[in-house]
Amino acid sequence: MQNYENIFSELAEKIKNLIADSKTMENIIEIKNKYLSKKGEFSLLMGKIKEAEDKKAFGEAFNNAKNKIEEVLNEKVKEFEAKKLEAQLKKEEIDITLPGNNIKRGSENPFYKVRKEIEDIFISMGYTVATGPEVDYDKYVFELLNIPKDHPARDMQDTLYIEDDLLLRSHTSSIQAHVMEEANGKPIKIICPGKTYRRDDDDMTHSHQFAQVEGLVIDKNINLGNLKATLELFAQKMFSKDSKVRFRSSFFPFTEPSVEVDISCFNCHGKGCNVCKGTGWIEILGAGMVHPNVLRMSGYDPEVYSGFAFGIGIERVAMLRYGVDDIRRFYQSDIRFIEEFNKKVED
Amino acid sequence: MLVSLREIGKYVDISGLTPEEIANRLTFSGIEVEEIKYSAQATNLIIGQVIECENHPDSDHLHVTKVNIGSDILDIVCGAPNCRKGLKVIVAQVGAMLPGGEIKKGVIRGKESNGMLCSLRELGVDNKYLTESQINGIEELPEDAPIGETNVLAYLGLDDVILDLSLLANRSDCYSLYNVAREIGALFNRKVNIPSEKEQGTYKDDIVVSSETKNCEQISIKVVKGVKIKESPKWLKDVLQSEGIRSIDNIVDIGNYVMLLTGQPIHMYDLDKLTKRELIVKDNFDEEVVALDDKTYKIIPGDLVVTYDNKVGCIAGTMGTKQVEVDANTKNIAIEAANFNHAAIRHTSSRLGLISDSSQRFVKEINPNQYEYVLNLTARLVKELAEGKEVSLTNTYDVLDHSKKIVNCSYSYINRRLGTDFSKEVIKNTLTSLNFEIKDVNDDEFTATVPDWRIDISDGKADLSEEIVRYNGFDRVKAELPVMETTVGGLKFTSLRERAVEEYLLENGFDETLSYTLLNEKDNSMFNYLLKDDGYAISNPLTEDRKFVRRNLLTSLLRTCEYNLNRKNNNFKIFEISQMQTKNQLEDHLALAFVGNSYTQSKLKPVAYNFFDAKGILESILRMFNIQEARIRLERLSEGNEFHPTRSAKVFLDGKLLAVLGELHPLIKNEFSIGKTPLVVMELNLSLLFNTKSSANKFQEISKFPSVSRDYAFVVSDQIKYSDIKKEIKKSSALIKDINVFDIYKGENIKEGYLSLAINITIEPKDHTLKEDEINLIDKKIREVITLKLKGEIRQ
Repeated sequence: MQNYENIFSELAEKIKNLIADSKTMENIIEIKNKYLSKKGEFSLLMGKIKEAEDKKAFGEAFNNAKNKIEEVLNEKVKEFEAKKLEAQLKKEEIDITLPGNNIKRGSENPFYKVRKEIEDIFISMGYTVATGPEVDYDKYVFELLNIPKDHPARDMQDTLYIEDDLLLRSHTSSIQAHVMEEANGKPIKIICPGKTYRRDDDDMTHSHQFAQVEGLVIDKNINLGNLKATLELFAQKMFSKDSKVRFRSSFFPFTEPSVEVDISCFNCHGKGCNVCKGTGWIEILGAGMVHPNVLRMSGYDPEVYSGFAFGIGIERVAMLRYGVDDIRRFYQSDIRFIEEFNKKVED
Repeated sequence: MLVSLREIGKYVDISGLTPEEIANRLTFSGIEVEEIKYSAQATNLIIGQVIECENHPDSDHLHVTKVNIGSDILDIVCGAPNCRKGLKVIVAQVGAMLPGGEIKKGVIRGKESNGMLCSLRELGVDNKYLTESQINGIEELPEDAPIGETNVLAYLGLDDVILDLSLLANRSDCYSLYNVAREIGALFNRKVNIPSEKEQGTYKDDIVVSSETKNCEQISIKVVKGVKIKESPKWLKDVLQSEGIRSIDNIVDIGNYVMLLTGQPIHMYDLDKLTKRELIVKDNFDEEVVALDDKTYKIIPGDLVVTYDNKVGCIAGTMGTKQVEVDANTKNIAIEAANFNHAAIRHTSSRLGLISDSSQRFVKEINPNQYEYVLNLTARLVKELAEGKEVSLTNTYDVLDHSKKIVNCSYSYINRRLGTDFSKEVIKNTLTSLNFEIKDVNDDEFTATVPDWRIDISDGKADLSEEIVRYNGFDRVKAELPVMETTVGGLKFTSLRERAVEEYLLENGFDETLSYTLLNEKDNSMFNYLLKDDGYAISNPLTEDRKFVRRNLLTSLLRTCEYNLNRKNNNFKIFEISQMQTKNQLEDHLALAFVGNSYTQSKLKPVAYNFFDAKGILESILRMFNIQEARIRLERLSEGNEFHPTRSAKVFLDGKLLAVLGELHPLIKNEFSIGKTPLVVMELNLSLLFNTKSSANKFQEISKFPSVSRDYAFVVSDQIKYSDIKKEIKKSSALIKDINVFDIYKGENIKEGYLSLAINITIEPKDHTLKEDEINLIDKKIREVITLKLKGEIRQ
């Protein structure tokens, strides 16, 4: 077999050197046109095949040489492309300290945050969340709650009336009255969040509109200790792991005994600070054992059934929790105020 | 109720107890002590006499004095204008603690000062008890004041401590010093000494006493003759002052004092002014009367009045009338102790806006079994302090039930209700201390006879459990979670769905706001699209601004927008969900607003919010509830003037009005001081949405065959709605899966009244890969619809 390689080597070397020396993509294209196109100098060498004895060997040698050139050429092209890309990416440089696109989550008024949190705590304890009408009949707001007409306790609730018998509910205990009526003497475990209204002038700590979460548990053998444990658990989830509750004797017409409930101060843990006004305790809600009359009026035999009820002020909890100084802020809904409460999950 | 511990100490032994101890125990057992007030508070005081008083050489108002305090003579600089030689004064020595701080040795403008000469104000006495000169100067002690006396507060009668009780509605019995003494005695196990009273009457008077109404079941009268009206003695004035009551004269003061002690209001008439010797309670009068406060009150049927000779002598339990008033010349008096129905008194007192110490007690129930005691106590005091000569026996009208209340209870019940383990002994002792009489029925059951003054104990057993726990302390209650059948808790139907909508909006950048339910008339008259029927109005509103129960949520939301825009919060998205109630409807609404511009990034590329922002939210919410597009119909809002007339819509779900949305009318924007800020709102009836039927989530096979996408551009009349174009094209093949608009152009090269529309159509085969001729057939049909049905001209 004859060796034809030397026929191509000289020109091949020259071309490879040219490629190696090329500075731009244009040089490469020039080289490609001049030597490797159909009529290119190197391609024309193929014409010498006519003179070759061993045409197959000639062909192979030509192709080998051409492939080697193209290999070098492709390398060079890749090199140029990489450089070009690099240059282009460099041009695409951005200032990564510019702000991200506007896809922020909204914030809820802390009023809603606290309402949901209270709901969720009690839901986790197996409570159902019940709601009811804000404009309601005297029967549900007062009568069924052991506050008959002319009862002194009506003094405690300066009510906004619509008609003699129809009013804006002054507490969410009215929902409890509805639920008891519908429960047909069966055990109950509910909380009732909702807006409530009183005939009160608005100032930093008073509001004609505010919201409560009423809680009610009715079953056989429910006692005051059950209430204490339930509220303690609530306080521990809502305020501080080490929260304790303390009862003080109080009066509500629908409970007997009635208690004011204090929780140990979550800020100073009982040492005394400005949150608890130096006492170590914070008054947080009212509660008690459901009055036998309330049970009786809704068809429960107080000799068999007993229950506890409590009422938590949503704004009161929110004010304590976040240090909000003025109840009116919840209702002004200043966006700057609302957006202070972005944190989705409280620690 | 103000309670002077000096006065209480006369009826119960409180020796060795600090005011704080008493207050704390009372508070935890249900009688809240709101404040402990010291008449005055100062240490290290001594009585002295100014023996030299020179003007300070470097001041126009200071005096340089020498003060003799017996054991020593002190140099003191004093600024009071009334400081002078010879004056007996209160000296706060170096180290004294006054309400204003500690007294320190000092040098005042070069002159040494070893203490301070005091005014009563500086000792903490409230200005309201002081005269102008007492406020402006140092206290001038009487000439016989003992120099060197160190127990100065006692000398001044200012060593008292007042407990300010905030009484619960059920403990009105504690509007009586005697009953507060009994309570303290029980709580601290101390001896109580309520003095007994002897019958003072010596003759039978012929005055007629009666009642013609069931709202007065008892009225009793004692007559005292030969009284002399004069100033009260100092001790009585002091007692009244410490209880916050102004002294008038001996007769009025006796009445107030007796009421304070016993809780029973009494009233006194000038016997000689009763033109007929009778006092009859009636409730059928209709006339104007002038009361003791010189004001005229209109009495209407139902108001209880005590009458004589068919004239009003007293607005029962509230205030007497001028014409039978005890005055300086009164010689003979009739003293009344009655039991009026608390509800009747409440009605009259609140209707007339007339509240007296007496009515405040009568609006609660009072002890029905002490009127004889009260009348004898009063008569004795009148004899002692007003020179009363002759006292009658008591004339009484009485059909009142005076039977003792007896409660049946058991020891086990009490522990069961409280979650406690009190022994029988503890329970029995507690109730006995609180003046209940206990009798065992058997091993477990007992009866408790309720003391007369505890009118709050009415319902029996539960009340007794409260007595036990408040007396022994709530720390005895064992905290133990209730044991119940396990139930799954959770939100109910509506709340659950509302939370989903809330979360969606929050995640999409809306802030959740809160507003008041009550509106003024003007705000309540706007935006009433969803709820058309009559709303509620408050009959006793606090202000006209808070009179109407809102029928729409948009006005409130716009007020929130206004509030924020006024505070330069310019670009935001907000929403609120609230219950809405009218006479016939109870539903929950969602209102939302887009205010200002949306920005891509920071403040880059502002785009004014527009109609389609709100519509996008609507579509997304509908998708969340699986409501098919076909069930929704949009109509232009033709009524009302709140919305932009051509950029707003009513949305119907299955033909029922679900929502209104759109941009606002420029004139309404001015009403809300919104000006030119872009603003888009929507109000949606969530209840309608939640309660409508919708298909459940269910798996459907996703086509395995490639879909085909085709673009069409055509010119069409701008009077044809996009929804119709879409609907018509959709009809051309069942395989059309999706139609999306990607260009709308109006203007140059497009003739007036037309627009150029470019849409993309996705064709999705069901069971095989589409062949060329099948696609061409669909394409042909689509072109036919565009050209023939829609009269469009396809652009090449």
